[in-house]
Amino acid sequence: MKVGDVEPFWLNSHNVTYTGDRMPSSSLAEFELLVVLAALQLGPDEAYTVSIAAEIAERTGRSVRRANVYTTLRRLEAKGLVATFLGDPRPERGGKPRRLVTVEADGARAAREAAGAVHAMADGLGWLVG
Amino acid sequence: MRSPRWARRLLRRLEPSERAEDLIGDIEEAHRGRMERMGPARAAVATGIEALELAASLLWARVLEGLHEGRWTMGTSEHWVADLRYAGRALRRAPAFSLVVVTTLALAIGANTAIFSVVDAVLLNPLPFENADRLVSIQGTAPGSELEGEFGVPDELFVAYREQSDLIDDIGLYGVVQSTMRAGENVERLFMARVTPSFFSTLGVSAARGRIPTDADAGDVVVISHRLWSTWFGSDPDIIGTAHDIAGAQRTVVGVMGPDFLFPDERGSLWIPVTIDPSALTPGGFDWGVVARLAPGATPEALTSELSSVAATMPERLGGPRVYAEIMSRHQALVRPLEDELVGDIAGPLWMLLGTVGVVLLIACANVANLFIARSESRRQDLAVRHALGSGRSGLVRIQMSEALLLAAAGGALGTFVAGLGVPLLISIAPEGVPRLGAATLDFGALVFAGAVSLLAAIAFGLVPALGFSRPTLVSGVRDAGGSGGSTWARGRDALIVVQTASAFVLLVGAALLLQSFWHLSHVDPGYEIEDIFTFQIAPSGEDLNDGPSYARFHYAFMDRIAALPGVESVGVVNQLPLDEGAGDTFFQTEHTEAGEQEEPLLRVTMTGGDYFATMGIELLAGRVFDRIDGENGLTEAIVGKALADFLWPGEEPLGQRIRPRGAPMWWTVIGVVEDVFLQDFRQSEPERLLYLPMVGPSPRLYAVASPAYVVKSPNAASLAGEIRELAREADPNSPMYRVFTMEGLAARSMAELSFTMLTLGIAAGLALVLGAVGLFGVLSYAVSQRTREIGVRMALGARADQVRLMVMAQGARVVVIGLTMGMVAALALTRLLRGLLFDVPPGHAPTFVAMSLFLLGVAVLASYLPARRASGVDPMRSLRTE
Repeated sequence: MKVGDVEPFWLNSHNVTYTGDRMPSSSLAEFELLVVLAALQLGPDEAYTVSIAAEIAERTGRSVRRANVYTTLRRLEAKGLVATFLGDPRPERGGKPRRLVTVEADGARAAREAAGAVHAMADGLGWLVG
Repeated sequence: MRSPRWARRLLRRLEPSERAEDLIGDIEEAHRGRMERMGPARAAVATGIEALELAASLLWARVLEGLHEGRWTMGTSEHWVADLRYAGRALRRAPAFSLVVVTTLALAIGANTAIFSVVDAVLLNPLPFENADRLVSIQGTAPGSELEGEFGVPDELFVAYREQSDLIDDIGLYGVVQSTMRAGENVERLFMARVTPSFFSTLGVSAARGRIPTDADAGDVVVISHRLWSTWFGSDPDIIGTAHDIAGAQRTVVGVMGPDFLFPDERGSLWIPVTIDPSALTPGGFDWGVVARLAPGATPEALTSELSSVAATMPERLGGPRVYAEIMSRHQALVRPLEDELVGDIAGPLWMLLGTVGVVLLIACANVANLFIARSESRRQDLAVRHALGSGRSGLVRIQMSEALLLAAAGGALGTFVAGLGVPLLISIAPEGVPRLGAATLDFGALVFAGAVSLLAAIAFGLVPALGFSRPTLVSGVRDAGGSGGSTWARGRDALIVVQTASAFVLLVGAALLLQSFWHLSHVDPGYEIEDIFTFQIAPSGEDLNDGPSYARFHYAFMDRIAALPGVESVGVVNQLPLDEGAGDTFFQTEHTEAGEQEEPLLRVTMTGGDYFATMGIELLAGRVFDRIDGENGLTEAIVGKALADFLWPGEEPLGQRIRPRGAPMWWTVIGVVEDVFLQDFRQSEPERLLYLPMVGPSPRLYAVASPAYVVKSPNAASLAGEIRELAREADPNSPMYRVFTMEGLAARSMAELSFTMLTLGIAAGLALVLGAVGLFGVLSYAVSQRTREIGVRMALGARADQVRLMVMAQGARVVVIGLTMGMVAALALTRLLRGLLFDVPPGHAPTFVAMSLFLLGVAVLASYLPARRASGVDPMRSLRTE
């Protein structure tokens, strides 16, 4: 047993907790959808936290917190919807690399479904969505 | 320039190393963009904030993941019960620890809850009116004219506002007077409001019983307050339609207001309708209060500009003297939200007090956190054993949090009790006239507040040590007897002491500045004495009392009876008393103004008789005072204050000069010059220019002094009320005594806002000081106990006891000096908030800062002396043997 792990249930049985069903990994919250779409727009050579935040801000006109983009990317990566890898060190980043984002097939499918759902719901509401 | 180093270090700590590099790259890139846009200083701040934001999101994400994966279970309720029981037993075994923690928390939570109750009632509870945000008060100002400061609205402007404004939905007038009401056995002087019927519709209130007045009512009806109804009439359901002698006339009760309605005066007991006749306006009585309801969408600013052009047209329409024209040409309307107008003066001090007790709570939490860290350090082995036996991190956190929660609950309960004692105390020392203060109680909201504060406190002082001492790396070392990881905690505890010292210093400096202001104010010479002077008013009534001479006869006879009381040295009357009513103002003419050499001045004037000047200790500088007036003939004599004499007759002999109210056919001759007095309060930069006239002038109507203030000099001034009340009853059974004070009481009242803030800030500073000292003592004692071995080695190697003592005390002093430095910076910024209360001492008063630094250092030396002595008493052999 690794230190800090969940202890064996026979020692501390009331500590075993039912964590419930996980959300189906294919459904995307709104901001997640924006992040995936931005990564697709930018492409695997240019998509990373800073550029994704800027892209969303520019296209939607809302202010975007990089902290949100960063944690959202981590979550998407944990769900297997995007993959990341480190680029080359860059002088304008104090010699640090960028973590570039590639959208996985599952991610692209999830984005298509989420965007499709929005389109389906907005159908016939042209006066609203223009 | 690179992004702030602490930001990078923070993120490196929070993310695994393979993640941290690119994250810091992001921060760096954003920072360089900012440097170009906003320069290095602002970029550093913005980047720091972004790093904090990132840290918060990362921590939050970690908590969510932990919960999701079941690593951070809160445990079952059964488990909590078991842990709480265990914690209860453990705390019983540490009574000193528990007592110190609970007392500390109770004082801090109690102080916060008490102040919160007051803030809640006065500032947070909006006015009990519909759409109260649209209610505004209107006043006026005329900078550069004869009329100084802010003043009320005259009849003619009220009518003009009502007729001309598009931004007002409804507008009402009010004025507060003090007059006599008689009903059955009760006779009393009461605060009464005179209001237009539109006053009620503007506020959107209706009567709880009966009705409110309408425009059709003459002044012979009255609406009474719920309090008057219940105290005077025993909540008589048949009150409507009964008539009583109110303010000199029979008036019929048409309505009873609800218990919440006390506007415009907390002491208000009834409302008498007045009507303003637009066709019979006499200009210039600037004393009405005005409340207006804005039209939807209108703002106070828009209304200000709309109304400001109205006044200038008045002199043309209504005539009036030149000074009136000048006032109106410079007149500006002052429109403020009604809520600001009501709570404006007290809002600043109250928020400051809430902030102050918040700081005390912070200090208390820091102290308790310190104690908890020490406790956790000492139970490290116990925790490690639990871990080894299979307790997970959440279990270890829960054990420690159970103690925190128990102690916070006890502290909260005791604190609520403290607050229960504190609220009435606060109300009793608060300045008079704080709106809705009477509504401050320990209500449900306050209890919720106390509960929430206790819970937050438990989290603040319990969670950090609990999380720290459940870290696997810390607790797994069962055999590790202190040492590793200790330095981080030592630094954390030093930081807590720094914060405590800084906060205590700010509070101490604030309290010291207020104390000096109080001292300076108490030593101002207002021109009169305040010791041993009893004062009251009486408004005699009767068929034979109808003109100046008849009132004067009553007053002289009554003064004679008072003078005959044992111990009474002298008695006088004055129409309006300094510090209570000030004085009225009227336009006057002198021979200079008649000759066109001077403008007709607007002068403060009051009437006096008896031994007024001697009783008040106002020195006669030249000439003589008024003789006693006999018979029907008054005096055409006047007495002037020194400042007035210099103003009217610069370089001339004032005695023998002549003066008269504008339009009077005869002159009053100046017979005396007296010392100047402060009429309003002791903060005035210079005294008013005051004119004294005799109680009876050249005609029976000039002047009829109906209800003057009596002043009585006697060594037992504070206990005269009973005897004089008896005399008053004999002289006129229908005329109650009112405005009963000692001059000392009036002086205290004029400083109430200052003394209120000073007292509460002083108490907070005292608490902060004690808590800070206890905290320092605890930290140093702990440090000494941790360093026993090291000290033993030093002493074995030849260190002397005094060197060891000095070493320990220097350790304390170092932390305190850092705290003091930070405290000074904070105090320089924060004492500015006190500016309005300070008198004769600047916010950044250097001697105060130095003195308080030395004082705090002294306390720190004391607090570190005991641990230092213990350190120097270490026996090298024993300390080495314990290892």
